[in-house]
Amino acid sequence: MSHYPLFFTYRDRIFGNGFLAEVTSHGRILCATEDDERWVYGVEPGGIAATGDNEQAALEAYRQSFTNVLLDLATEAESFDAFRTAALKFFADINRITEDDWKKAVEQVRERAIDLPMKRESADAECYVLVEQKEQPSFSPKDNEPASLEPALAA
Amino acid sequence: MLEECAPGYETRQTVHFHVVSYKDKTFSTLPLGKHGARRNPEIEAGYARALARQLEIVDCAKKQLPQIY
Repeated sequence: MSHYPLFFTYRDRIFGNGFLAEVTSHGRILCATEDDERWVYGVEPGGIAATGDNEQAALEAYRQSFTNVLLDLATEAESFDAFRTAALKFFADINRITEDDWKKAVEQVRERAIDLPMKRESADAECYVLVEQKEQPSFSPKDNEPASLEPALAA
Repeated sequence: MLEECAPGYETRQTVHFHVVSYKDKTFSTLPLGKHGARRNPEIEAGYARALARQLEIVDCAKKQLPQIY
């Protein structure tokens, strides 16, 4: 069994009942190989898991699941405020047990027991989620976001 | 497993997932099942482990589902 700790930064635009929300999130995930399977477990938020045939596929599945949870919350929300409340609650629901494994994996990174060729970010960095309502006059092509995974190794 | 380890748990189906809540914890991404949504789909071990960790019922889950640990 191997684990490594990552940060992610996503931006999602979510259409809901009469609103468009932009959700910018910076969270924590734990990548794991268990029984020769690749898994990505959410730490913050903690209520997500995803798997794939390889690490990249598992990360992509996690990314899609994250968006799908936001879409589900938007479907259930009657207003932007209700969606924002639900999204903040979802993000704040930390998986404490997986967080312990994430912290142990960070120690391994710091001890050079884990080293991956990717950008690094201090493991002490704050996680956050911003949920903003977009108004129609403010839309422009520059709001389009290129699809990107680019996780960072927590160190 | 949930009946034993998370008495009073709540579940609901969304467009994409089964969502399970217990006390103040929620696991949001249990698959609906292959070949369309099912009430009791076969769940891969990793999802069950993640669910147990998120709901903080690991000790009980290990007793109920030792084969996934």
